Amino acid sequence: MCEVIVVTSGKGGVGKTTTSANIGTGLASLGKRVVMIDTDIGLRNLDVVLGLENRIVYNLIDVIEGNCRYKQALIKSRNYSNLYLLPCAQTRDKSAVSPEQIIKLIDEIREEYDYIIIDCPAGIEQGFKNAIAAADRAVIVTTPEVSAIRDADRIIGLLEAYGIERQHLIVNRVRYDMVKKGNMMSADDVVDILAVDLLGVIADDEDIVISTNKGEPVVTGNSKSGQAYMSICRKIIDDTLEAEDLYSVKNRSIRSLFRRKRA
Amino acid sequence: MNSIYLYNTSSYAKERLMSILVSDRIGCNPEFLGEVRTTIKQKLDRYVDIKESDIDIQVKEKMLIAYVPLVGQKYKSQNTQFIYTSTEQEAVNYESNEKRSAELKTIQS
Repeated sequence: MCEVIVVTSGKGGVGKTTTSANIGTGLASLGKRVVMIDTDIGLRNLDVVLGLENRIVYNLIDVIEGNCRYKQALIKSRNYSNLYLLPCAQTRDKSAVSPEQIIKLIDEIREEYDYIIIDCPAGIEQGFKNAIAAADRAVIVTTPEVSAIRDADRIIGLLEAYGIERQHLIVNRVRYDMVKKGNMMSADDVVDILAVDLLGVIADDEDIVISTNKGEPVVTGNSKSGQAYMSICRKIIDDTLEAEDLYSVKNRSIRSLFRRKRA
Repeated sequence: MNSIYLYNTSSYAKERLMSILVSDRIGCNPEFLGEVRTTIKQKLDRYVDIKESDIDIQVKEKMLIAYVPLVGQKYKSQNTQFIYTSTEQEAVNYESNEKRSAELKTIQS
């Protein structure tokens, strides 16, 4: 059975595209057949984050306008044969597509894949409505900042109004040194405020910047952030798993304590 | 900003967010708050002197809280045991003013 997941945030620049790329790649590495769709028409970026920018021939608009079949527009990932990207147009704007056309397209795609990840544009206008039109569930990305959390709350309300009840939260760009000093809200604080189930926490990590530079999602490597994204992917597949906080200092100290005792 | 939050800006942020989100969720815009302010001014005018622009209205955890600082003569002439100030700071100011005037009197005498 196919699940359509929209990755959204309201505010721009909180890491929707990076999160989409990592969730898509992570699910593919767990053996799922995945299609990622970029719906940020006019400001596409998912292709760059995945390092597939040189392979684009057709895009979302071409498929919707009937210039090609959707299979011709899909780009296969460099690392996984079960991971595809449907890029969007750079030269058009968001009014070129309607929610009905997206629903029709996704109904066609969903028969052959396990997961469809939709990268939503920032804002709550036409592009947002297009992106959530066919979604079964939503992943809300936010950072521990006042503006991002406020926008996330607005998005949660809108998603409920559009009938998307299954919502999960990813708290991105957490700086643990600042949390410790009491100058940044922790993931628990954010969950408290928004009252949405937590999927996982991602730290503000250099590895993510480096992997984006290379065009390889961090989830393919062995870094802490890569593991955190893998944990998120496992929780997407199996909802009963607990959300893990892999960076937490408390966890690390307990683990190292055990190690010393055994040695 | 309260001095308690100087070293703990995250809890200050959390508290601000909580109140922002409640007012966002019930859709209370500045016009609505303005109406509430006018109504409070009209109703309380019979009893006490207040300034409409001083009334501070906040929404906190399903509660609408209005702080109404008092000004002028009616406030002093109220012959009741109630202190009509709504903020603690106002009450403290009022007390210290009285104390100061009492001290002045003793000096003068």
